[in-house]
Amino acid sequence: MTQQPFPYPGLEPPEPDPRLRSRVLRAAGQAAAAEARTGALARLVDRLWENRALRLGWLTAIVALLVLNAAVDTGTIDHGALPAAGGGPYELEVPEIGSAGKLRAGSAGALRTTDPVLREELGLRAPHGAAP
Amino acid sequence: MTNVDPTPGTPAPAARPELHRLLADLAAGDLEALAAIYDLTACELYGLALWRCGSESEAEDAVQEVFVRLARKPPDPARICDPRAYLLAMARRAACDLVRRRRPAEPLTGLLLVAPATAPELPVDAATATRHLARLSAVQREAVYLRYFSGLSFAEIAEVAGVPTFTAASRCRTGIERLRALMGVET
Repeated sequence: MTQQPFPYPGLEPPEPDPRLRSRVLRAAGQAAAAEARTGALARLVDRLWENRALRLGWLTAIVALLVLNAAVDTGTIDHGALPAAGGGPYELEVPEIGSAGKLRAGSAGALRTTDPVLREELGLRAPHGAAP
Repeated sequence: MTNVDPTPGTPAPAARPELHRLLADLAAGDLEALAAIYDLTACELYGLALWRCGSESEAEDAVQEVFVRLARKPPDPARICDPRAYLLAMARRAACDLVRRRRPAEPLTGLLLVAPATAPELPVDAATATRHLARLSAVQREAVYLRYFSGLSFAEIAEVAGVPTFTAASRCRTGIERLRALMGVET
């Protein structure tokens, strides 16, 4: 393939203004400085994420927590032991007041009792439909 | 910048290894390398942006944008096979962004060609040549510029413009033919 000659011999594209150099380099320097400030946190996160030892450490910590959670009895009631929402109240025996007075924990966790005296002492409201 | 007459397919004559080294320095955090990159490439980047935008102030903005981007996020030199084409592509993109931002399109305001101070009597003056160039499409002007003033091969022009090599060659050829036709009409 032969190269056709340029139709305007002797003419050239103009050169940039000499002042452009300082303007461009100043703007580039400012951009680099701004990037160094805002990019520092991102670079730190990147470095931490890329650090293999640190990743292994995180993994070990998570596994250790899971093992502890499974092995150690925290003393809390298992979620499955509670009645389901709306599944009815369950009763707690209160030895000091005998079987006449039974405290009930509703599904929402509110205490109820059938004994009007105890209800009075505890400051509980009468259930709907019950005599005060 | 001079009008070059490259043999198609030959590598560009610019200091490619030098640019590679400077980009590596920049990636290593040496901001001084920017000044050297500017000295090596500014004329070419400015010329391309000027031919693309048609306005001197926008061409300057495009060159500034290239160097701001370089400073903000230096490219990995290992991933750049031709640093000159890479920088020209950056300038082209910056110029295209500026043109897109100032819609609707405005007529060319700057001289795209000038006569050197020492030039003898020329057959066509700069204003006429600029008027002719303004009749080309932006992509044709860009291809002509990269071919005749940057001395790039069609493959390299294609890389800069992000088009197939055949398209780059076609743009360049039709651009030159159109200029010749315009000259024939006027003379």
